[in-house]
Amino acid sequence: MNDILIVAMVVTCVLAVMPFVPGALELARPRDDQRLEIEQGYVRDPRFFGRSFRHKLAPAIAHAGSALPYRSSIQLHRPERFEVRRDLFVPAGGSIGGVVVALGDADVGRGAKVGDCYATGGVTVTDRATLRALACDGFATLGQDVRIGRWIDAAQDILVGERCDLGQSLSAGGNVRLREHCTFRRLWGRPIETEAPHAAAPITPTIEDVVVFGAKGLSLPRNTVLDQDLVVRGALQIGANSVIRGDIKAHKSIIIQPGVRIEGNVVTRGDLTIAGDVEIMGNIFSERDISIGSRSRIGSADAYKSVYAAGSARLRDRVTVFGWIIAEVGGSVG
Amino acid sequence: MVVTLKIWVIVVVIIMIVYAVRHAIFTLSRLAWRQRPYYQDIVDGRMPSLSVLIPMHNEAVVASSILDAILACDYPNEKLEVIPIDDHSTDGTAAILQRYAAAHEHVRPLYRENGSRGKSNALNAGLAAAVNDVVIVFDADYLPARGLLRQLANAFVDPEVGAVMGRVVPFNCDRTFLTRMLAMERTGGYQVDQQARYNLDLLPQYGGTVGGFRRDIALLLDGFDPNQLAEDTDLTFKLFVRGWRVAYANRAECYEQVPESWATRFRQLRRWSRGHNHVLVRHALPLMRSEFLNLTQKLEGLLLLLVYAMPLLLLSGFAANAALFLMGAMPIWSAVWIGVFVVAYNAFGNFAPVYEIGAAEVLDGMQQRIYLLPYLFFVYIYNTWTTATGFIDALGDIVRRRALTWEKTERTATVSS
Repeated sequence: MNDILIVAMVVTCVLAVMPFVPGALELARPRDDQRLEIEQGYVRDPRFFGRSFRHKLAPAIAHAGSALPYRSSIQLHRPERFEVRRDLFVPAGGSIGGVVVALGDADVGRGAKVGDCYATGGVTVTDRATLRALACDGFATLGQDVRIGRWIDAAQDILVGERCDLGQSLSAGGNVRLREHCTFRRLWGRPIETEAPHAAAPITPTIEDVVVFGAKGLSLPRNTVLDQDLVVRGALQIGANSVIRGDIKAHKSIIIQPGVRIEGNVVTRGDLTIAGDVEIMGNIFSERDISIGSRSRIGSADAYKSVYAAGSARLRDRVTVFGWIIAEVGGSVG
Repeated sequence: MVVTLKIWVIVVVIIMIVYAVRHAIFTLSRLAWRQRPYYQDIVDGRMPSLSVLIPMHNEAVVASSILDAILACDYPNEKLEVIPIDDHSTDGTAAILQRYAAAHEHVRPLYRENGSRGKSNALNAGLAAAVNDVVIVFDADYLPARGLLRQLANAFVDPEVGAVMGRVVPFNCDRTFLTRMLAMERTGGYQVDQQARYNLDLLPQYGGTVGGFRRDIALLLDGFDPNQLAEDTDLTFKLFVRGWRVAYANRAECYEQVPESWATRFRQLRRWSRGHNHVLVRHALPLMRSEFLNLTQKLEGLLLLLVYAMPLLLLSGFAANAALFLMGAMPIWSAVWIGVFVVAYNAFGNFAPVYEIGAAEVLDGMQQRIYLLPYLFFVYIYNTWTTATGFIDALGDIVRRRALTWEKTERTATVSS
């Protein structure tokens, strides 16, 4: 009896102590005792990829000097082949891997494949070409069906042809013009403009000439003028040609009918549908999907703004956005 | 008597199970469910104007660090005023503030030499002096990163947001066993608890530092009550009860110094418990009556208010259990129900925060810290004792109508990057 009791007590003690053993080892020889790292210098920069890439390449370009072409290797995420040329011409169907720098203009032929490219001049990318990443200090022109693997950044304007896949980020110091059926995640331009003549027509106004208020939300009639912020704990519909001089928020979807002008921010926990000819001076934030109708304008030349969709974003014809567009699930034109 | 004790034990067990389910839902929300986005990706050419308030009482050791960090922030100077509030300091804090004011036009210190000392009083003075739309508050031992002000200010694009809270990260977690434990508690509290409450449209808390609020609303609510030790929780509930929301910015991270000694921690936690329980008394009924909150939000609000009352409730449950045992009246319901209660109570009730903290450490990539989870058991025993003391203090305050005095947490080092 006593033996059994002693064994039971020993087993109990061992089982009680066992969970503390790995922790005791961690306390004795700490492997995870440092603070969580906060990047103290971090600031949000829509052109981060391009600027960071140029910054990383600068010493290697300086090292190349004037004896061109210069070939070496460079350590980015992994060691890459590194090449500096005066101008870059990649023939149709040609291929250049690694990191290539053109101290002038770059011309990428039809169907060509290029790794990471930086040009101090302008860049022309012909149809069906594929680039992993592209930075340039001049203008960039992309033909049809061009595919960007990671990102593209131009110090001046970017003109994008039809059906291009723009990777994770496109940013420009100047204008961005996108044609139909392009897909994207993040766009930065001042402004971003779309050309999609075949895009579907704006939604038809269905609102009546009365305020409709119910458990599910609020409908404001056409020509409403409101001089304050509006929060709706349901869905919100704003009638055509209304003017809202404040911020608006809805816990469900928001539908903005044609001709509306909103002078503040638009925030929704649901979908946001913006019909044609709408002007929004503030930021747009949706926890779901966003659709922006033809000829709508977001932000202004003197105050850039953001359009954020936690879901998808769809831009129709002649949409103008001064600032940033983010579509976490993906965006498209048309 | 026996029946009363049995009912009490059952009530305590049910409350513990409710908390357990709450923690389980929070953990699931962070690990498996859709995350609600914060406004951090917004880049705005016209940010709101900010007044940064920094209450300081004898903060000569850290005053320069935080002022340098704020002045280095990526926020337009013309939209920013920095108001360090020297609250009856005797250690040279005022001289440091004078130096910064002379060098920077938008640093406008306040010097409080008369009236009562304390954070609420200092904030009220700052609030009266501030002129900008949004007020951001930092404690003096914090070190904001360059982009932090923008990240916090972004929340106010949402017209429903009355206040915003960033994430606090201990910087001295490698100093002592206590700081390691506190680092884990903080990680669980922010990375899982606060974010989950934000995800689920519940009640994330404004924490009084690394956060901000709309100045006009704070003035409308008569500022901060000098008789409240938990002025941050007080503001949180004032806002929610009136239909405003608190946004939580998990990526708006800022270093803080956590107590390195058990004595300092005891005083801090006791003060928090005392203040929080005052807020419980003040806001429980208005919360239940609010027209702006749904039933889930009210229940969550109540659970949040009761957090610092739970240890005493738990101890009373243990006492009732012991009494029943001594009376030979342990069987409460059928054996099956006792089994269910014991398993739920111990597996989830007592240790629910442990898996919340474990999940948070995984999300932060601090896997080795998970080995320390069993040690939290001792910290909980300590916390139970400390918070129970705070609860008794609060009861005493209410019964005797005592005036409260602010006690600053002792600093042991300078926060540096």
